[in-house]
Amino acid sequence: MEDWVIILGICGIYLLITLAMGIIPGLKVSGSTDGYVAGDRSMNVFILYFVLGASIFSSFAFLGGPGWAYSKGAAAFYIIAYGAIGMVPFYFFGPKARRLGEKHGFVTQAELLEDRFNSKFLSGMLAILTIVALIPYLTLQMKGAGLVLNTISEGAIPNWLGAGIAYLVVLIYVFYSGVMGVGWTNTFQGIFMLVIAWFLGIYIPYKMYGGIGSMFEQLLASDFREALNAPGLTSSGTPWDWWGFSSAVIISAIGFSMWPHFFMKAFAAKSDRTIKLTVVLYPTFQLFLVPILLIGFAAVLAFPGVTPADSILPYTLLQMDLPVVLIGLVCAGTLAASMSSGDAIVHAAASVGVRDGVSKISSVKDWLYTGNNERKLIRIFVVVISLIAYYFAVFSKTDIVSLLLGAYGGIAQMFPLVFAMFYWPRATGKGAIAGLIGGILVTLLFLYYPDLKPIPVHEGAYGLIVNIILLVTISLATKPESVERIKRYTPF
Amino acid sequence: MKEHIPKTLIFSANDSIRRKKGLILVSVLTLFQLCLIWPIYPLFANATPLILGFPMSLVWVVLILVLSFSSLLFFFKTETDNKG
Repeated sequence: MEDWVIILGICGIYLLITLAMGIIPGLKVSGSTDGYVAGDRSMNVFILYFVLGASIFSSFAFLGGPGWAYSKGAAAFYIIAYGAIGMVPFYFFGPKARRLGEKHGFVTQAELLEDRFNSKFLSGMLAILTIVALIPYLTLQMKGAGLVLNTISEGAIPNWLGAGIAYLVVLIYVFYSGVMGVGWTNTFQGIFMLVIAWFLGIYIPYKMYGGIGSMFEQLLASDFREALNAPGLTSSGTPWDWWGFSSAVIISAIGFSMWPHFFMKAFAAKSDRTIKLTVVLYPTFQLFLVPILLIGFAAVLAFPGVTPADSILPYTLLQMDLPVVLIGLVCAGTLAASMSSGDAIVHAAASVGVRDGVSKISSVKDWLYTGNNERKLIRIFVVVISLIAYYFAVFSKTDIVSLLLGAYGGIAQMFPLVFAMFYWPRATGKGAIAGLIGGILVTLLFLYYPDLKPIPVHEGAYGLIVNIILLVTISLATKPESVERIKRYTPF
Repeated sequence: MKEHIPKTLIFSANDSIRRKKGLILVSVLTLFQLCLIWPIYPLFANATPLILGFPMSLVWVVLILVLSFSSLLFFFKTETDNKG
């Protein structure tokens, strides 16, 4: 039997186990929207830790991380640098959001903002922003799954089929079980990923160089030496400047806790303590990027010139004389990274699309709240959004990575609004809308016309400055929201 | 009667001890974040010396990650202990 058949067999078994893990919890949660979107607010620390950890560690971490280390050197440390603090705002926002959600039945962050700022328009805008930002994110996950299966099958499985099979599994369990399907599969996939990453990160440098220390000594003696000095290189191979590195870290750290598929999990948590402890423990998950990056560094001297750099992990595995079962497990681990993010993203995008988008249209509102229609519609959205992302992943030639970078700048624009919601009583709906629109427009402007930037910092930083100025001035110039409404969010 | 809406930021209005602790935590963590960007990170940005076999530029980032983890853990402990 050919090796790749065994490897694919292992991936197949892995997919089946994931499918079972995803469907079983769906038998337990209630048939309500609360059950489907927020898991009846019942997640404990153990599950929440893996849900958040595994949804953040996507195919970008598993394929892009080693790819960055391989091609850009120390620039890859940026991924660790923003995660160190990026989760912390959630320590403060999360419990507040959870309590309000429990009291008023909110399950998305736009519902909170809509209520605090008394604006349906804002909710609709956030729904669009969320879907537009999450689709490229989902597309990248699908591409990752396709790439892995294609590389290990030596081309026998085309990208469309690989991405299709992996995401059919995701589609089935998200469709059936909602957030609890995401919860249990992410726990399983998260543990699997952690074990694989630590094992490989230590094993590969050891096998190829006799140890991590001697690997870096050899890298320092080579042309790669300069790349190991922070902030490393850009994609064109020139040194990255500190402006670019620092602002990218800040914007990513700010945007981190604002991603809807992440923030929404506050509503699924069982208690305040659950959220806080999850945030506290999160850096232990973050540490697993270190072995992942080591894999990329290990390939620098051994396999120069591999393109695309993102395929360096599966490429290295195939070149090393590893036991075939092990390669199968690693490939399953990479699928895990892709799927455990993809499931949370598609679930969040569909829930937000319905709760914050469609339900604001008054003519469909009555229909939506009869029986289980709302959950049905969310499920239809799950299918439609998956298909759109699949189209982009397989057929479209659009440059998805740049779309995603733009999306990060856009998502970060929610931060001032969420902050003001909880801590600035004087913030008004008009101020919030002006800030958000201004911030997004400026971010887009500099994303598409980078030459216009006065200094070379991340476009999201310009967006945030404009956002905050508009939020503050317009809020002060307009009538405050009612005291009763504000006091729900900021007791004073 | 119309109630006055404050124009300033309000943090934990009814609990000045928690407010103070929170402020200290946020300042400490902000400092840590600054350690990972310009102007502090450039002081530790060289690949050499190797520390336990790892480049200094990587060890620094991991060290800050561990420190911010410890400070948040400490804050969490004191916060929950006070509540009993």
